[in-house]
Amino acid sequence: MSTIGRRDPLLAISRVLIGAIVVIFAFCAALLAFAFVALMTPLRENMLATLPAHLGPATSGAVGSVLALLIAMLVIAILFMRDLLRIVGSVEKRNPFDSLNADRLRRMGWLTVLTQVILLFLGGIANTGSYRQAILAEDAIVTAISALLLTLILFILARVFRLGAAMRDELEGTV
Amino acid sequence: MAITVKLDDRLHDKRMTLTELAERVDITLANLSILKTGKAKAIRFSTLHALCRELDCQPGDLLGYAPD
Repeated sequence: MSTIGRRDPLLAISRVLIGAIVVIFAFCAALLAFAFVALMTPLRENMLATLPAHLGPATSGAVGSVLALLIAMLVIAILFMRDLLRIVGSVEKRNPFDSLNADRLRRMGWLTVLTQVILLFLGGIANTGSYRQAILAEDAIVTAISALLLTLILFILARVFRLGAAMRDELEGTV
Repeated sequence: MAITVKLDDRLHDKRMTLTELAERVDITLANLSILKTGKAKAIRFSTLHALCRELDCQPGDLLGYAPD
């Protein structure tokens, strides 16, 4: 019998790390939401004035859109981490080949796609010269390829888990 | 299910209980009960081998086919 399960240190560390990331992301999302709400008040002018000059003239609409997209990205990241945490939990319960995990992995794949779409919108809003240069930078291309690979891996793993769950179901009634 | 399991007859012939058989073939009593009550979806050759060895019979003595 495999020792992978409740006492696996990797799973325990993952649980702590994912939990910490969720807390940090939730805190950041709350701060951004606070800023988003503040943007709708008379404080708006003061807030826009504090933005660095090299970013160009900022309108409350553009800043608000960026804030909303960043909040959406953080919420997506939290949903992604929640699914990952549940997958870790299923391994701890020694029941990873469950169709629920296949659904989770597929959802994580779509969340990754959604994040890339939001990044595209963010790129459209941040239309300053320095951002365009960043888009063309090698790092940005590598990041885009990594995201594409991650999406592919998640969708493939979702199929692997669905097949694994079906095989387990088939074995369940075997004596 | 068109396949029937005739474990009771052999157990009676051998004067053996289900618990005793489960211990001898090294499978759980729960699984052996599933097999006995016809709720199993499949049977491993290793299980069939162990059952035939302990009950001193052929696979055909344990399994039957009843057309639907």
